[in-house]
Amino acid sequence: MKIWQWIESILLLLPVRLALAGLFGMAAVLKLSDPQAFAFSIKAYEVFDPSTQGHAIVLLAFVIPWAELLAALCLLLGVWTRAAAVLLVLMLLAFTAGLLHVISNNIDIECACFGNYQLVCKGPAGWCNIARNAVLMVASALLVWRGGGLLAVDAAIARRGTSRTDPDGVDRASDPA
Amino acid sequence: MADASLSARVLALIGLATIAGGVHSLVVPVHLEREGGGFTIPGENEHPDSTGPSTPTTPDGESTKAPSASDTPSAGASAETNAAESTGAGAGAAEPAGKISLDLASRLHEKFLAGEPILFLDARNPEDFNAGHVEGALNMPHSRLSGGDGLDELAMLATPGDGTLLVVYCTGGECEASEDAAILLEAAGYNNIAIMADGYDAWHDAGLPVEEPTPGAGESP
Repeated sequence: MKIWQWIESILLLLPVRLALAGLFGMAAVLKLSDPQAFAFSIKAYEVFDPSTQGHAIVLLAFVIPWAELLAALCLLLGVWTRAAAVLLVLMLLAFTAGLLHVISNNIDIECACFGNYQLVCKGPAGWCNIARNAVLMVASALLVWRGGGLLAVDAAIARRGTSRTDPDGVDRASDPA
Repeated sequence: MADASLSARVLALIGLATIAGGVHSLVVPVHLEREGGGFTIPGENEHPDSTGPSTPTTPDGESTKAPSASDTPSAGASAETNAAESTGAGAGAAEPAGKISLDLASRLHEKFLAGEPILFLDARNPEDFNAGHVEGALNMPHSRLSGGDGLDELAMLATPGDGTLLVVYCTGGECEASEDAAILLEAAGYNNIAIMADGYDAWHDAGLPVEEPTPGAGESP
């Protein structure tokens, strides 16, 4: 086992995992605590017509926070880390597309990314929110590339599988799922 | 192989979130549009501005049928100003359900100050409300109505079905906050709601009564 893998896991991958888990977990809880407010926020983006596509708005108002919550739990534990990180990248891409729609149509709304709280970016949704999403996407992409690290449950499972099939004891858990 | 496993796991997470969200949406009701839209001015008959299928009741319990948009001209026998005219939308323009003009809102405010069962609700956020609001208005952003203490505060002044007219406003222009607040008020059982479409900015610019923090308040003279 190479020492740099431990260093990477402790100093980079674990903090990134926990930071993303905390951020998206908080976002999910805030949205789930008031689905009505989040549904209004989605409606305000004017991507969907509430009179004909209201069911899509309602479904998204519940599915998005649940997806954020599941991804956050996966990242917290280091279970299915890469899949959770891919899910975050997909969601961030969708959120960014929504923000671009808002900016291009001069719609004066707040992001609602973290319920009523405005994290980093204050005021109406705009380029600051897109920059914040870009940073979060880079962090998520890092986890897609490197996995959860040696301190993730994924790595522990991989190590157990390796030790069962590898009598020479060579660690091949550096590429966890 | 690893890619296939990753894709399957991503799809599994999306599927799980969809199932959880779908079940959750069945348990917790979410409202996006108003079902009614009619309103009754206390002491008067149904106002011609009001449209929609609802049948609000007068304070003495008499049910009134909301006229359709095509009925509006004939229903104009009531001595009120049509919102479409006063907002410059042009004669015959259909106003969205339950929206009222600044002129009518001003008249209702006079009635409110005279003690009629009318309340003005400001649907903007607390910062905007504290910077200035219609005289006597209550701050009711949708965050206070959908889980906050807003409905409790409102219930102390008006109960659903008691005929109190709730005049809701936000900034004006394209703001959605008043519509959102009206949806939540309607879901809570309040069915006599009018939206002041021009909003606070127009009210303020028209020199109508407002409450604003006094400049220099708290400073020694």
